[in-house]
Amino acid sequence: MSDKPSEAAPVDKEDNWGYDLYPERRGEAARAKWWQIALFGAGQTNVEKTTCERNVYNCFENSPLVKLMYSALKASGCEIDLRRHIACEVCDVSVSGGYDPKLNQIVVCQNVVRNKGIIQGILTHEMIHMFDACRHQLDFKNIHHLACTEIRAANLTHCSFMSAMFQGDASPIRIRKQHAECVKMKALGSVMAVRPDVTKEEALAAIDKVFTKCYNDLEPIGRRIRRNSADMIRAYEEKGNYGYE
Amino acid sequence: MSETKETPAKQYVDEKDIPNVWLVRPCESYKDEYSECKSIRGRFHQYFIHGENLDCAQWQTDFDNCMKFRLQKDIPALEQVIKSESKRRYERLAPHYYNDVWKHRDKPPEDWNKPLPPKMQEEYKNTYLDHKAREYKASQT
Repeated sequence: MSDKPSEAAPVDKEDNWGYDLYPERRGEAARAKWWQIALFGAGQTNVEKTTCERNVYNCFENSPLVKLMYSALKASGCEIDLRRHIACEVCDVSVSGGYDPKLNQIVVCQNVVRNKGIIQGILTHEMIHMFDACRHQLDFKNIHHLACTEIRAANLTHCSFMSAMFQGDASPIRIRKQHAECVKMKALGSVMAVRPDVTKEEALAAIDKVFTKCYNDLEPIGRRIRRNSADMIRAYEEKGNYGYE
Repeated sequence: MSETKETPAKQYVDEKDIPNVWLVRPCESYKDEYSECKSIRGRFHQYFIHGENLDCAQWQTDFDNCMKFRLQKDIPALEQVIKSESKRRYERLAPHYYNDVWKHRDKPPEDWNKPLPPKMQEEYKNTYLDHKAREYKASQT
């Protein structure tokens, strides 16, 4: 993904990798259509941006999970600079956030997420990718590496029973060990969003190959958080025991 | 002098000298984890993930030993807690270090902080996060 105008640079196959979902990153400022402004109050991008940035900052100040991830990254030698590593932008409505490995930046979609809780989830999810990129030789072009980091992010930040039910991976009579199914499906969705050139079968095969190892690697959070419990705080409080002070 | 069931293997002048004593958390944490483990919602969560109930007894044991040390300065009890925490630490970190899908790095990526394209840097000047980032940097010096 380059910052040259798209007519001049040859279209690299990588440019088709889901980054069309982030139009502002290819050098085009987002512009709302007239009817969007009139009917939906769109186009207030500056206000929206500042609101998004305030929410992001709020997470870094108050969310135990985000603070834990920040400490873990700092302890690993990859401190996050709020301005350098995070961007609030207008994106395609199908995504809520992402991680840009080329610029090493988390993108938060200001036009899609306005809720602090959801932003907390996005930040934690993407910071897990950063954690993996910081500590390991993570090659995002390697489908197994991508599968592994998506499995870990889904494992640690998503897939409560309720969200698994909504996704169709669990039901009141299908509960036992369904967490793993939910993680698998969520990771599949993420892998396919980033790599539209990969088929569902190829993605599933890659996920299955690395699943056991990556599903059980819980660093740096250390547990699968139970929603609406104090698990986030417990994970934060014990970070000193695992080297993330 | 403490009333211990057995004499400690080594006499410690100051409990801070015991190896790995920093692993021990406030006793209340162990009680809290035990309650979570035994709770209905906690059990559901365990069933959803592992397909079975986990053994919660260790948390209670750790709490009891922790309190024994707090109230009676029982060093062997403290050592038991340290042993339990070390085991927990190993069990949690082992899958991380044995995850060989990728190679470990010796040091962080060199381009972690590489400068953003000038157009982006220009856009970010005077934004809310720009101010907050600079405020933080200033507070660190």
